[in-house]
Amino acid sequence: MEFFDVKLIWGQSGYLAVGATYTLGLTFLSMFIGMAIGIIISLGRMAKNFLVRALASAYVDVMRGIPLLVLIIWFYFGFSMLIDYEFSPLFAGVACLSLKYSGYLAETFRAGIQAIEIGQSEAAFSLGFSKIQNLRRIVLPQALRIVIPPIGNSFVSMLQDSSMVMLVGIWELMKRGNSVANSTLKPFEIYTTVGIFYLIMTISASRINRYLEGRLKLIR
Amino acid sequence: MTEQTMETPMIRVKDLCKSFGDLEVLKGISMEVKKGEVVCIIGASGSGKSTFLRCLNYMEIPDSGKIYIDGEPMGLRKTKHGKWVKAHSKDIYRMRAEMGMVFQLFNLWPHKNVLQNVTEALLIVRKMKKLEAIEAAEYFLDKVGLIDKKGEKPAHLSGGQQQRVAIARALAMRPKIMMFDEATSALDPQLVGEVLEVMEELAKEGMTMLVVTHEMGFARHVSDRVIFIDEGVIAEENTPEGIFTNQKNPRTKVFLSKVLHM
Ligand SMILES: Nc1ncnc2c1ncn2[C@@H]1O[C@H](COP(=O)(O)OP(=O)(O)OP(=O)(O)O)[C@@H](O)[C@H]1O
Ligand SMILES: [Mg+2]
Repeated sequence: MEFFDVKLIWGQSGYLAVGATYTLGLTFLSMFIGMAIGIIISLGRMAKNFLVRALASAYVDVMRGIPLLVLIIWFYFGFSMLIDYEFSPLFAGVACLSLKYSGYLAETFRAGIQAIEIGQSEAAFSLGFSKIQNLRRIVLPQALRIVIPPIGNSFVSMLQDSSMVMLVGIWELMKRGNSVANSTLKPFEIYTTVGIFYLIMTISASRINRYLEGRLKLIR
Repeated sequence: MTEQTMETPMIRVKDLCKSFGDLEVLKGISMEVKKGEVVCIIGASGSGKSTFLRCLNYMEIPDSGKIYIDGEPMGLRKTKHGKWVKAHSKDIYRMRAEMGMVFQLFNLWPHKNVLQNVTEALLIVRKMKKLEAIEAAEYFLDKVGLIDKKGEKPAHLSGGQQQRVAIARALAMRPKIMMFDEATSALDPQLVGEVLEVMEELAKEGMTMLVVTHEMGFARHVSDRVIFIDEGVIAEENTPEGIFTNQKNPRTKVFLSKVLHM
């Protein structure tokens, strides 16, 4: 018996690579939805209405404070039983990841929006802009540039956290690795390969993030 | 309905009050600005000059009082039963678009170039076609002497140039009124002149202007009337000559002696 079975890795790498594409797709989709929710919550955090602010801030606290694992168990097992409806694994996985990350992203967006001097919005309002027009044309285009680096970081974390949704039965990278490791009884080789796949994805994501950051600085 | 005639004042304010928490900033301000008139507002720091201007276009919501812009009530509307209630947002937006405002810190949009800063509101608020907006923007940039900077980002301009772009941005909306809130206070002394020149030109063309300023030269030589705000009320309203040489209120004299002999 070899210490490190390279042939085994070679044989399984195609199967794992497909899992990596699932991981990537899952992360993109959840990130997209999480950002949409995050923007809305961040606006709630800055609303004039006290109740809206309190609700939004409670949402952020809860989402940031609950471990993803617990969220998944609540959602997929608990909530599903409560309303007697079985969610599809993909739906449950994407929902939990987006909900969890929308809490962080809301705070990221809030910081980004608050970094735009109030005077710029005042100028827009004085010219007759509506609140939405000001947000769309003046505030968000600048805030989005500011939040790209932290959003990139969230993306990298989510790539790894997405492994948690193997619990609901999505055949992403970690679940495939887990299954192959059990059937081949070579966990060391398999998990190392899985780790390398994650590294390739996270390092590429960081690189792209840094590139975008540099580009967007030039524009301003 | 409101009738608009030559006699309708461009701005009419009645008993305007505004507090921030316990701080009473405006304690019942009433005044009028006629069409084509240039009125300067002077007063100590913190006396509520900016708050007053910001109430006029409802960027600050007054606690009580009425504001009429060219005869139309600002921020309020009358119901069928004759009760005053908050106006619809779209009416406030529409009326704001008729009232240009120039800020102490220019407030240009840094992610847009000079031309885009001027066309933006034309496209978004006035819904102009792109070419039409560019043509209008270029006309006003030319007027403030900055047509050759139209491709630059605001950060590459001097303070005086930025403020002139801000003025062009407001003028391009073809407002009925221009309000200036200490438009030259943030500028290096050698850049003040170019902005005052543009303002003086506007005054000569007959623009109705409400100018909060510490530039006593401008108040004295360009304005038709000067208003001195003190402790939340109009302490004196006078001709420029009168306010500088023959004050009705001793407090005006005290204030002026402080700002003129620093
Ligand atoms: N949004 C606000 N919340 C609380 N207090 C405010 C607010 N805006 C202004 N104030 C206070 O109201 C008072 C009047 O302010 P304002 O800016 O109108 O004065 P000003 O006459 O324009 O002064 P300056 O010459 O310094 O510009 C000040 O004491 C200021 O601190
Ligand atoms: Mg002020």
